[in-house]
Amino acid sequence: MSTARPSFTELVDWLDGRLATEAAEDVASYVAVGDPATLESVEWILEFVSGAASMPLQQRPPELGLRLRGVFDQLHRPRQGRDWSDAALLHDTRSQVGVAGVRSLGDGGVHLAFDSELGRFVLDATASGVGEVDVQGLVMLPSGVGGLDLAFLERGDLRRAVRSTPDGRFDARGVPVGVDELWLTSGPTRVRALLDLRS
Amino acid sequence: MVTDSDLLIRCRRRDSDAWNQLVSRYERLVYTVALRNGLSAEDAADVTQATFVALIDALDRLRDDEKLASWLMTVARRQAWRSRNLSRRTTSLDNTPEESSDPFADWATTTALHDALSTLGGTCRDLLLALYFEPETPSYAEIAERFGRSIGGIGPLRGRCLDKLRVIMGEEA
Repeated sequence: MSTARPSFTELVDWLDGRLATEAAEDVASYVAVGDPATLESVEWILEFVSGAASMPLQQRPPELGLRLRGVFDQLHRPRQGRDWSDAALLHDTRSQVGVAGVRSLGDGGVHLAFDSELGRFVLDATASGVGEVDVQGLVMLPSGVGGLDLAFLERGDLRRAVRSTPDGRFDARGVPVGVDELWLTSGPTRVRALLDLRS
Repeated sequence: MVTDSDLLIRCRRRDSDAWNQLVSRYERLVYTVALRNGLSAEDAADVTQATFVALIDALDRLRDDEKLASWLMTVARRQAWRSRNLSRRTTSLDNTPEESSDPFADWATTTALHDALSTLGGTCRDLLLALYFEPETPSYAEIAERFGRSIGGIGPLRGRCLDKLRVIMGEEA
């Protein structure tokens, strides 16, 4: 039996079955003696291999990679180009003017309804802190569209970004009350809505 | 080596290249977490996008830039739960899957492992991911070609990388 303590690399190779027979027998003999430092290394390696094997990394769909890389510019880039359209305000609880059937908030919050190229959408803004509101909303997306990305901006700077659920719901917490613009993006379709969230 | 912290600082300055590097580093991890939480490929892709949008939203509020891996994994997991609950509400009872057990028996260890890999960074991180985290373990010959090294050099490098990772995990424990 070898009396030399195996190196960490030798232990890794031994556990992986990559050592020649004689070298493997030497390492096995040393481990069998029970040297605490060696046993600790063996235990760590086995735990690492087990932990890694418990969650192998899957390849994402190619188009997802493009979306993920594009979303950063999409949420920050100043509004430009001809592929934007403006949302039309249908109802604002503060003005008391709007289409029938749109409810009002009784707690001093803001309820807004818009029509847009992406479909109608509504949002409720309720005070959540000094100078902040929580915004919850719903975009009536056609089926199969999937989620969309929303950006809340204040004087052109991104303040909050969220992705809606596939059924169009979104929830943005702690939105600065000074936010004055909302962008909604779904694929190539981009919509801009002017906002006033002050009660 | 460009660290996560370096990339996050650049992202806060609206640097798209830094963002692309972060996405390359973590898109598979986030997508895998979503898949492992019982989502379809389509829903997992949506949750992955929601998670990266949440990162853009949180860029100025992250508590610890060094723990980005576990932050992304945790957000992805929450988003996946939300997506699953939403799906249950819109699925007929006959088609509702049984409640599955938690796919991560030791979530804290899994996230700590990925944070340590991030700290390790560079070639070592990439090598260990290729050797131990690929669904179909590539051969040493494939790994050697991918990393531009000799086949005989992979084993010793692997050992050194694992030893460094062990030190990092020991320090962070």
